[in-house]
Amino acid sequence: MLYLVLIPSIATAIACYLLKNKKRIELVNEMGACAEFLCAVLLCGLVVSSSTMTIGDNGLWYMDALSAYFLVIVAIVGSLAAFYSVGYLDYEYKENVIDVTRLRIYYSMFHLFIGMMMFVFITDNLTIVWIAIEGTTIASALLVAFYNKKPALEAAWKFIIICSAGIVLALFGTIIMSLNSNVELGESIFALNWTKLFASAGLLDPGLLKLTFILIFVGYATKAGLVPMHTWLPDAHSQAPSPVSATLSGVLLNCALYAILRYHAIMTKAHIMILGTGFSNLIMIIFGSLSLLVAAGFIVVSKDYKRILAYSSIKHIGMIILGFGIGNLAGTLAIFGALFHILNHSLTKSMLFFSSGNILLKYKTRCVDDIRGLGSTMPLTAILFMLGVFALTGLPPFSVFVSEISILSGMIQVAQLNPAYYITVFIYLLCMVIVFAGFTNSAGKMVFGTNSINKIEARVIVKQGETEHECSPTEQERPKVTPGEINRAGSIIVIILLVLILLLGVYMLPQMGAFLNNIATLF
Amino acid sequence: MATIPVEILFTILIIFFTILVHINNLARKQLLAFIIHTVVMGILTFYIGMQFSDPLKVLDFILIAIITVSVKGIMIPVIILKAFSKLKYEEEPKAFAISITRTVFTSVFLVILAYAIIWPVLAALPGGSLTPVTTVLLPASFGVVLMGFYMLATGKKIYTQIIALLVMENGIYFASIATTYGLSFLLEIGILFDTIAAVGIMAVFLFVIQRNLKTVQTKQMEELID
Repeated sequence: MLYLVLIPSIATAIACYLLKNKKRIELVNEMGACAEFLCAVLLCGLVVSSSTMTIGDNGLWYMDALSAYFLVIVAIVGSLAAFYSVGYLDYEYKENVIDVTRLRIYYSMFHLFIGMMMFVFITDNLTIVWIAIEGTTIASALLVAFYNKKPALEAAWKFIIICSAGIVLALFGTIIMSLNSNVELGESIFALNWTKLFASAGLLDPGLLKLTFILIFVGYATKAGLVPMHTWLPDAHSQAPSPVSATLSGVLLNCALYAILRYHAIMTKAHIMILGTGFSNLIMIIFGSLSLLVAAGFIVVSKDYKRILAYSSIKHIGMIILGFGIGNLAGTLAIFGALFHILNHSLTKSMLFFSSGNILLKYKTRCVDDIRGLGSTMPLTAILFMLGVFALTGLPPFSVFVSEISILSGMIQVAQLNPAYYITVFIYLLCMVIVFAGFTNSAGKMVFGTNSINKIEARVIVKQGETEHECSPTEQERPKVTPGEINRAGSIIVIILLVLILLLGVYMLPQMGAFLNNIATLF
Repeated sequence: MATIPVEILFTILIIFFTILVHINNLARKQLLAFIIHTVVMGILTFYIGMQFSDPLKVLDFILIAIITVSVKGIMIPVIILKAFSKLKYEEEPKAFAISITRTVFTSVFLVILAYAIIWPVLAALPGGSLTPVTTVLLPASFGVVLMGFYMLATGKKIYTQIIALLVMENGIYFASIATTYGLSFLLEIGILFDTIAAVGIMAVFLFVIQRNLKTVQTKQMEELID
């Protein structure tokens, strides 16, 4: 019966497509978002109240603490993004950037996208997980190309081609896993059920398991945006409408991460080792560190604030993967930190994408150099944006600080046992510093200084005859920036997210700690 | 179970048609080569299915063969042809010339690489647990996936990339039947449904991109880089 959680998304998608009245579409969208959120919370409640922390029918449908956690994150970010979309798209509608037909397409694809993401977390079968993750690419590609302009089309094309091609490898890995299960555990229609594979992990063939994990990791890491398979991510995240960017960055990456974690749990339980450490652990440590390094470099040099946020997603996913990779080598502190970081990253990143969405609406530019004096033009947005930047870069008292410190402490514990791991500690700390410097430098330039109207005009004169950076609008598109807040409803959502990350940063309910510790035992 | 030469024959046929899809630089010819590629897969599924004694399993494989060939061999080519018919900027064959020698050599190398990766892992399994169908065809199917990747990476036209993706999907389908256990019927249908949806969306993009950007070349879409 778990599939019933998909009904609100599908029904909202269909209703939004069929309706022709803007107000009604928006109302249905909001009602749909509430229903999706309530269903997810209800399922999570069922999981928590169950004595085994699992629900399901011993067949296709299954949920445990890990899937409930991811499902709730999708529901929170997805429904807040749906509410934020109303103000955001209404502004664009009034400016004649989009019409009702585009709104219908947007809201129906958006809810289909949310539904597909929820689908990932309610099944036991690893092929269905694959089908759902591929479904998320299909549903979100049209959202990335929403504005139908050249860069948006290019980004959407890269997104669908690279993600679909990458994920083909994951399907190949799934088939190898099916072969392994059928040969070693006996032929069964439940050969690819995660519960069965996890319970009998020790009986599976280690050679096939290694091959499976490599293929699965490369495939899903493409979708999760890990370096070097990340090339689609900054393009798609920067070109999509801001609420979609928030959802792509905040929760879509989690779906691929979830799939990797399911296989990582099997590998850990099967004790597949290489060079004295877990096979999957080593792969995750290498790719996590690489993602951190590359993303930190790009955050410093990038001139487009949405691209900076996109690279920051790569960095945070790298941190999470690194946390899980280091995780079970000494205690579970790093795993606990990585799990908590998934929630913190989703909330903080969507908060920043929402506030940057308001900036984009006002200034019509994604170029850091084109925005000055945000503090005087949009004081509330500027404060929220700056606080978001501080939160995302790991400053206390925000929750990202707690999770990043937990991962770091876990890493130091491991390094005390094996000094070679001090290299990862060094990379981790170095990247944190670089990212903080790069991020605050860009955000500081935008927030402080004098109002950018005159600066933009000056730049236009200087740049005559030159090709401008792609994030700049054309001269005709440049708006007259007048002081004043816009999309106030959107700002309220940003404040809700800010309060959440602040609360999570200063106090964690004991029940939540126990819940995360329960998940950590899987690895 | 079957004797080895039949599997080798199928392997050679499928690799040959994969190369054929790659080296055709005209859209319609490429699509035709892909249809033949899919039909060969269908015949292979039928052949493997006939080896089983369990009538349910035979029926399962025959049904999968029929559905796959009708979806990938008929339905998807029709969707792509419809998108082609709206193209105003038809390709110039010279601009997209492909070096046949290089393609053949690289493809053969990729197949050898696939065998080098998969074969040792299969060989380490306990004797008798795998049939010759699996040991011969599973590495070849990985070879087809790698060749699809190669085609995707070197494709200069947006619809070549769609066909490359379909070749990779065929490689996966090939792998699924090569394991002889297959994925269950429902899951195969789910994967096919994903493929149809992906191709449908890509066909929409093909149309929008050529209308808005007035090109079908991928090199026109290299603006977003850091």
